Amino acid sequence: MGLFDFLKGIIPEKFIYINVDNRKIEVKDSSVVIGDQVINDPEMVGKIFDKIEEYKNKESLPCQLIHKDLLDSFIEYEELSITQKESLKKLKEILLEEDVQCILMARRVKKAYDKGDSNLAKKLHSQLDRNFPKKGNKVFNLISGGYFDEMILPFIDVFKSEYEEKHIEKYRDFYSNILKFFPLAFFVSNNTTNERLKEGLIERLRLKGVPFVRLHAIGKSNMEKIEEVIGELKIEEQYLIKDNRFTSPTGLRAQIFEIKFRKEKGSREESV
Amino acid sequence: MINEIPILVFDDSVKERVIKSLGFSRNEDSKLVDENDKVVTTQEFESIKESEFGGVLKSSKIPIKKEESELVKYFISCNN
Repeated sequence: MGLFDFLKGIIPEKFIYINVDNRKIEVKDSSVVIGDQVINDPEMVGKIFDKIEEYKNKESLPCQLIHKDLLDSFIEYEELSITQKESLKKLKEILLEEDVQCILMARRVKKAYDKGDSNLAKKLHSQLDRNFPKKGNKVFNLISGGYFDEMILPFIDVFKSEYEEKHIEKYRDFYSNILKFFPLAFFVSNNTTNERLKEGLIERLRLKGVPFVRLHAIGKSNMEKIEEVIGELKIEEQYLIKDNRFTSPTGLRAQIFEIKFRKEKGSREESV
Repeated sequence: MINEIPILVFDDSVKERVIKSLGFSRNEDSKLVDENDKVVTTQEFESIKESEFGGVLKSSKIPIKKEESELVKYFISCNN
């Protein structure tokens, strides 16, 4: 039911043709705003509220009823829920709802930055941080860096084929470790050069007290970058390594390369 | 499609009338109550003060607070 069907007989028909966007109207104290048209008619406003009251005892309303302060966010989330429909569906099947909420909110923040609205983006970013203090910022970084879409999402299919009925449990562990050990992970994307990978790896290996460093890659060329840099830095001679490789049914290849410190070695400064 | 659902937007100048049309009112603590004086709650079973009222989304008569997180929860639950 369109808005004008809902308000038939209340909003004059001539406004339906003038206004291109007939999906929403704004109700103020004594006026109704439809697109650029302002209709000063307190009686019309009263009739609209009478119409809403008809639905008082029904199970739901035929429209969204939203405070003006929430309108922009509503439209943005609505658009995101459409463009991200498939990925949200996949994520809902595998992650806890709170994690999916955090991801959607982080996408909204990124969208605001992408639109160049830095004041709004910063405000939303703070809100994300407040709502999800342990993970909001990390999820945002993964999304804005492209790693979420290039790597974390595709790993869902990889885990499905690798672990079958245990894939949900395994993927949740994987995801929560990504967030927990976020500073110790390096995501090798299509844009990552060997030099950048080398710098990032050395930086992380120099951190005090780290249990391991993990390199994540999807795709043959990104996995080759890891192989080249690991060879160049002679990592296998200095550290314990664990090279987990996966292939999804669609042929997608993925790798999680873990580097752990040898207990018998002295200080880490000797190693790099 | 979600974006075919019409939207009625209101501001603070008519918020009280919106609340009344929905069959709600405000108690002595400024919390929204229904016609049986039961305190109205959000999806998370939290009470809502009149000042926090953000509207009602289609597919339910459950009111929301004027917070981003309410919209996030709604769109996650809608995505099927």
